[in-house]
Amino acid sequence: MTPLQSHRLKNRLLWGLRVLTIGAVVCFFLFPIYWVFATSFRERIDMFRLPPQWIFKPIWDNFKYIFRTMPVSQWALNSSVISVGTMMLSLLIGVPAGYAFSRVKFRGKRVLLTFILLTRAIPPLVIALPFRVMMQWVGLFGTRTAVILIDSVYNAAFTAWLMSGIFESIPVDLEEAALIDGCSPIQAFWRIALPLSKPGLVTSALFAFIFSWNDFLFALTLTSPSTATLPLGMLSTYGVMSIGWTYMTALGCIAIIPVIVLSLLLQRYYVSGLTFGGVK
Amino acid sequence: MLVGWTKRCFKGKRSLFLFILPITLYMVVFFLYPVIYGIFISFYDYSLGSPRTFIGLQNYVLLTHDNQSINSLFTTAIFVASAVLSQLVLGLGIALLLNYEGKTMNIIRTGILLPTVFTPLVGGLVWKALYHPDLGLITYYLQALGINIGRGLTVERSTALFSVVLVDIWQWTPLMVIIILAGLKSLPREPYEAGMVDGASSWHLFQYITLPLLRPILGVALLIRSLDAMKIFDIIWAITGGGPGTATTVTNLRIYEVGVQHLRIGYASALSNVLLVLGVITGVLFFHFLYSKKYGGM
Amino acid sequence: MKPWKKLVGLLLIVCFTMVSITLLGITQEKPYKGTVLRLASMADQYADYLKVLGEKFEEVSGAKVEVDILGYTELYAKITSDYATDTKLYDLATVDIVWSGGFAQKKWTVDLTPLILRDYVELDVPDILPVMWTQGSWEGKQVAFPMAGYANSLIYRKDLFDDPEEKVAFKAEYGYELRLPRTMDEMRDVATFFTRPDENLFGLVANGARGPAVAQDWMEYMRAFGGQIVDEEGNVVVNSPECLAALEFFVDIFDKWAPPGAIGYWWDDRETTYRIGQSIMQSSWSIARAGYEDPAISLVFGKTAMGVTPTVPGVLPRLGFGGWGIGINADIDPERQAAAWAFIKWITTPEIQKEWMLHDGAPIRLSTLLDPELNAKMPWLSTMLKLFIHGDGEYRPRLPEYSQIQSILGLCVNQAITHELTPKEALDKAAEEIKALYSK
Repeated sequence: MTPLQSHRLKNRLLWGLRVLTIGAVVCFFLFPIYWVFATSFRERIDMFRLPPQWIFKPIWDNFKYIFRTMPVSQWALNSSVISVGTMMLSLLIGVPAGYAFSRVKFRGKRVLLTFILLTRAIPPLVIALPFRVMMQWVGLFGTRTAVILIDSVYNAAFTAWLMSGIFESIPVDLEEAALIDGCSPIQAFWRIALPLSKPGLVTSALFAFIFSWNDFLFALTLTSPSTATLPLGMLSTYGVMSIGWTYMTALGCIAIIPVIVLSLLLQRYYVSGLTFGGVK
Repeated sequence: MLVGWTKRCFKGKRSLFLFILPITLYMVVFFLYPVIYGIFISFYDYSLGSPRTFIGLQNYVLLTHDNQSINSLFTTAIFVASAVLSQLVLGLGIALLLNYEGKTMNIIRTGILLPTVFTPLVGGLVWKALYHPDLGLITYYLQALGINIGRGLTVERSTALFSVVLVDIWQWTPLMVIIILAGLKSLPREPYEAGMVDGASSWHLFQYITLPLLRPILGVALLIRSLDAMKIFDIIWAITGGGPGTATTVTNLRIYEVGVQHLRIGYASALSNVLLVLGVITGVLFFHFLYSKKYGGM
Repeated sequence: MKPWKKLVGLLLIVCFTMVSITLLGITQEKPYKGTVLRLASMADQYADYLKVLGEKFEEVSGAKVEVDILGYTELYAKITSDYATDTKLYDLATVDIVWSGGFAQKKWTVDLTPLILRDYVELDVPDILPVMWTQGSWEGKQVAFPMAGYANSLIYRKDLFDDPEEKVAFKAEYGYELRLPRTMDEMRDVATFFTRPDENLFGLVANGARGPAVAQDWMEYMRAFGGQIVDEEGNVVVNSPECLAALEFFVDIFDKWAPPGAIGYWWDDRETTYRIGQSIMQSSWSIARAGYEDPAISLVFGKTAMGVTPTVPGVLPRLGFGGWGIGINADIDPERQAAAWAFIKWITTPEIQKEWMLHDGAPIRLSTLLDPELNAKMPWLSTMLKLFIHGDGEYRPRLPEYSQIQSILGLCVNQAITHELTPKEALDKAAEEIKALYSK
């Protein structure tokens, strides 16, 4: 074999190996998701049949059942309200903070930033109880607002941190030029820095939305039956004596669709958003 | 890199202070208070439904004798170390594999995020079904391949923790992949060009250029994942309930047991504070490692 | 008075009376109009229809009952924190029989005794089987009203026990007729006989998963061996010789007769293995009985029988009783309590109970169990009646400390069956920890 031929062979082998590995990786990550979809379309008794039947006739019964007997639209509405609310509140609080962190030098900043990031270190269980008591005092217990408030604690922190990284990678010259021209710093922020940071904004918004959408613990602790969210709905199918697997997966399918749609629509933003955010 | 205002814009400093205010206030009210309450209540013997009595450091003393709680800290440490390191290595590997242009790559990159955005608790329950010792697909195929898994991956003491770690890997590696991909995209070209001119192999390029340049981003990803992994609860509770025996009882699960099942809020808070302190120490160590070597400060 | 004035007067009085009666009738009809009650229910088989009943109640009384279905541990967590922090989130809740002591001691749900006495006739109290009252009774208080009675029995595959070939083979091997085991030794024989892993057949299955699942299943066997957790004098005897024998038997179940995965089973897993025909015997609660006949989830319809769980010689068979009562939140206003009580009375009437039974409910009344129509559809009701009549409500301790005891046993028993500890070590450890609970 000539050196060129062996080189080509080696390249082809490597390429084949790469395709196989990617295939294996995709299988690993996506198989359980496929399983969720598949289970939603079959009878419960077929779920555990061995050897497994890969080809089957899909049925809509599970979906019909859950829509008939469970307040699915109520759950979806609550989840949406809470997620959108958290998203907006986190952005409102976190983005300006992130900007200030990147532009202004002040004492104790490092401490504050560390403190903010360390909101992630707290086991949520123990925050849940005092927060619940607090919500009772102000009469917000059982409302969606309560959940928005606590979800935003985590998300505002993350947003502030992410946006500070983004803003740091945006050169300050444009804003300085604007300031010389007589703009106030707030205007400089609003008109110049903010539009440039769009990828980061989208990323933060998306993360906040997904965090709240999938949250289970705080929704469990703080909601009342009329404000229950989709994850709680999924849990309610998980009885002890009789697990409604197919209903749970059907709800899971419904729950993941908005997330998929959002992610697809916004994917070009968050990849670049994370580029700037994490590095500096 | 730090950018400071020059002296002539000190006015800016003041109005920008307004930007910090909301978050500070918010954190103080909605975060600091619950945390302080948590510390405060750990000095009491408080069983939900009965009046509470002050007992000082008694809860913490009890903790030192409590084998189950101490073991849970070790279990948590093992979980965090194995899960996070695996995610880092796998994430890096997969990111390199997917670091090519093309429509298929785009689709794969989006699709691969599905485990991360799927409701964690339900994801755990799904794996529970797959791991089912008699009827699960994983058990079925492993046994068909002739691999001896005892009575089932999630019910043997030797493999239970590993099986849960695998689920965590499944959930979070995609996020690592995306973060690292983002980092890879932002790498400058010059060092590579210089390296290739010097005749370095791709492995050398990776080792001496890619890795060091990625270090900050890897560090941050590692930090966030470690802090999150320390709080793991959903999937363990869903899949093994802490068993078999205490093989998968991580600290957060133990806190749930004590606080919610035994209703001993004071004791649960004490354990929670211990976990918090450990988390803080981890975070501080990370920051020190990440930022003092590379940069002068923030 | 002029005669026509008298007539007009009379007419007016009649009109007035008629109008008042009508008005009274209208308001009487819907006394609780506008009230919305919230009920937290366990996610057991009866819950779906309980939701339907909640909506139906509005037509009858004007009050709407919204039912929230939760898993076992979530239910407990949510209602206990609701009661303890006075958030009045749920007006009504399903109360597990074993929570009675705890709820009574902490005064979390209303003591219904005065209401029961007041409405004695309306409730037709004698129709409610005596054992049902243990769902919520503690030291003279009744903190939950009977709602869904569960009988514990040995579930077995009658078709296999009746099969002539099996009978011949069994007699040849063991020397006596194949029948429902009456002693634990016979149980061992039957379980061993039917354990054929190559045919994917297993003789006896139980819950093994750490937590409430394994604790509750073990307690059933504990009773069969004559053991208790706390004796009459209040001593902790969970490590007595009887309990030790029970745990040794229990460990054998997982080593010898159950499917390998049973060591991680929760209730649904155990029911599934029976329903798909893999395991042929289990100790189970009657609420799951109807499920065996449902072709959508079961492959063994028509093949099941219920029997009394065997015991060791010298121990009287104890028929386990369990289930769920319904309790009223003690924090809510009197008007809401009244509306809640009206709901309880309504769902426990014979008519509604019958309806519920046809939709996966569980009975509390004699009349329900004797109903000819129901018996035609569910021939096992007569067996259930026998089980209830001799049912033992103290089958599992309803002590205030129950949930902690369950948690301790949930770990120790699991450690025994996984051979992390020997049965003796496990029970000694459990005894020590339970004693520590009481010494506080």
